[in-house]
Amino acid sequence: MTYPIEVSQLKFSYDQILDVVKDVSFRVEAGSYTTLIGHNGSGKSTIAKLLIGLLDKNSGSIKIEGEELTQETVPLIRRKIGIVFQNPDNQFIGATVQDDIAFGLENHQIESSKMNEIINTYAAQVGMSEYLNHEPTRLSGGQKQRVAIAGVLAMKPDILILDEATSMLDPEGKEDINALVQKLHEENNMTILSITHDVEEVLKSDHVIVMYDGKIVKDGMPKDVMVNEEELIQLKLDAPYSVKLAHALKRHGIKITHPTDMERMVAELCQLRLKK
Amino acid sequence: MNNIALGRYLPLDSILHKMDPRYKMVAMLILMVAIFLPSGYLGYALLSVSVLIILFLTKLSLSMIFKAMKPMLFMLVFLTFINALVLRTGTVLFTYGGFTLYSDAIYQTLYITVRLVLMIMTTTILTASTKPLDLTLAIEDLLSPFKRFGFPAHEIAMMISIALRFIPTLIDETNRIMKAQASRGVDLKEGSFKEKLMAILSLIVPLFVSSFQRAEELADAMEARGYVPSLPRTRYKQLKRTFKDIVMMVVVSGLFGVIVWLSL
Amino acid sequence: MSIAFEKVSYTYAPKTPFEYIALKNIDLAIELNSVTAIIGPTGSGKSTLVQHLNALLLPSSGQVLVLDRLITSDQKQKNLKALRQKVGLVFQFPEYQLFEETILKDVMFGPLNFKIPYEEAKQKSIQAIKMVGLDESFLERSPLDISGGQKRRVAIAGILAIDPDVLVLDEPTAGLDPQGAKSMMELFLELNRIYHKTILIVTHDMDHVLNYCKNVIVMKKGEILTHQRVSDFYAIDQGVLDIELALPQRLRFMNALRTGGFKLNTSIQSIEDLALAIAQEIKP
Repeated sequence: MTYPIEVSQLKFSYDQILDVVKDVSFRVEAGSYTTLIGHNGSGKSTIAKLLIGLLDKNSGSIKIEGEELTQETVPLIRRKIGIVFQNPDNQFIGATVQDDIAFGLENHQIESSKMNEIINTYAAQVGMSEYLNHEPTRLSGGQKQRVAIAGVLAMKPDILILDEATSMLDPEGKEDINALVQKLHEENNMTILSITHDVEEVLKSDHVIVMYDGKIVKDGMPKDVMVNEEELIQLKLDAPYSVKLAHALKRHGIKITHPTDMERMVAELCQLRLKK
Repeated sequence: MNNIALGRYLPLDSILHKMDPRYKMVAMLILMVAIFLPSGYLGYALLSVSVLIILFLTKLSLSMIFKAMKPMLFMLVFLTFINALVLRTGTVLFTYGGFTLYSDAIYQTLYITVRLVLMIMTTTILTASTKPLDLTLAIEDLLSPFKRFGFPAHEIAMMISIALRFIPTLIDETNRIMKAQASRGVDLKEGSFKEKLMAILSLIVPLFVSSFQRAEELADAMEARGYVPSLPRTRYKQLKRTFKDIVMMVVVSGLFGVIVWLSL
Repeated sequence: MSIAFEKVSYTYAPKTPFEYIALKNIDLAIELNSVTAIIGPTGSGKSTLVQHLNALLLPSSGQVLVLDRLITSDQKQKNLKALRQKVGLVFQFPEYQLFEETILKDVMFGPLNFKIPYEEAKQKSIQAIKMVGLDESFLERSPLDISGGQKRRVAIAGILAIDPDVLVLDEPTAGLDPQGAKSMMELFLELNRIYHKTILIVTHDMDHVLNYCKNVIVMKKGEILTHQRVSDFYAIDQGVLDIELALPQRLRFMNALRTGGFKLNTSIQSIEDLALAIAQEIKP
């Protein structure tokens, strides 16, 4: 069975002395929304760059849709993956929105007469049709990230990697992008790998991988992985609010069945109150 | 905003604005050569009229040009002075004390002035009527025949367009850094030489560091989107010539021919 | 001594096509020796407002009173430096302002600019570096060679070493991971409680406002919508304010629980308080 992303015994180090990625293995299922979470310096951003060959692994294997990532296959692999980076300014290449979306098309030698249609389609998909002629200085961070997403979608990748794509945005921008990604996941059935340290976002994903100090320490569903507050703090992460509250309630003898799901938790508590 | 700085694009709605930048660029180069040929009074009269017509067609006004010339004024006065002292040929115009002013001094100065004014007009017409990015596209197209000799026309055009894209961003960043350092007590007006040096370093180093980081991130993003400079790429923005462009080229070439003939 | 804005307006690029009025007739008095949050949508004027506090910007009209200095548009502001020593301003993503050879030198840059004697500057810098949670091993390292979060802390230490009475921070936790953000906010709380500094924080994080700040100023389109105690602020229906503000997590839970029948009438300041209140209504 081929997975969109299959990583096996991956090792990487910048300086040959300290391993940043230490024997990492994981799989991402087709059509899933996977979050990769870890403290700053855990190696999670490095993984993103390794997956598209911006960094060369020291050892181990990376398979994208069954294709092994090697120096020869890098161009092919890059067509299958669209990646959005953290800094909205430092990935905006074109002078205007339409120029930026066109950049990827130019690289893949799409005929220039066909470009306008493609640009319009993807600008519409991310809600930026009114801004095609805008320069980046006139756009907010959230708008620039939307353009980045349009730019990578225009290449029709099957996999979308978000490398802390919302961490430099204001709450409005974050919400914007999260909603867009959710939409892409549901409507286009894209496989999404989101590298983040937002624990609340993790709760919305299908699958979470937790990294600590270059290694994967947890890999499973959010409802199983994100429940142990002490453990998460030891991993230099934070527990979701609902988990923290469930924990505090436990000390008062109240046990919550679904501490990662706020709605269910509230419902459960209301039930308990009525039962008394 | 009322000043026209030399070289700035003005979003006006003129015939020149709509023309193909490649043709404009070549035409300008031809005119520049013509300006430097010794075509005599007739030649310069012809050139001046032609340039004035083009200026009019670009919807630029003479007052704008004069404002652009202001920085040159001092130099021209200085030049007149030097010429008056140095050139002693031609007829005597007047004498005062021990100093004699010869006609050639005046002629030479006028000559230089006219050339300068025409040059400034011509280049201003080009830059005022053409967006910087269109200029870059034109440069890329005009230089691409040299690609077969290994000349990196595309890479140069890419560098210029990225630089243009980031100028406003860099200006903002410089302002931010200046404010941040001002909050730490940096004062460029006062202080010893060493303090001023540190103050400047506190502005330049962060700017460089962030620019390098920016360049790295940009390169990653470009690579991730499939950019390989040495491989062929298509181009979204295509330049289209029209009949007007051809007409202009014919007219300018004709003018050039006349100027050459007058210079012989 | 106070910090106050009196009928302050600020216009960017006046008399040009790009003219933009960022602050409109602001009247505001900020409580000394407290932690105040400034919140509002992007473009509401928060950054413009705080830059008046250390005279990076002079008001187009009106006056700003900062401690014992009066700042107006027309005065030739001599000796602004003295003000900047009293009011330390940390911009967003301050890690970009580091430039010196070593972390210690970088942190000392500020105090030395304010003519604090070398040894004293050094001691203050070392203390500031420790306060932000970095140990002695960092002193001689290059500030460009450390992680983003650590750079952030060095930049803040650089302002702390100046020992200002007022500390103004523009989104100090933006981009930090949850633990980094938490330790940063706790530092500010400590600076207020122990060192009696007046702290102003421009932030988008409602949980931080609720958990760490005493007062909150809400801005919109260049005006002050409200300025109150945080406890009072969250007692009102925010729909009244005509801007959308995210609710802190605790309040989202409380609202949902109340809709489901809970009263939760006691004073609730923390997760513990909330758990206790819930438990009491479930098994009284």
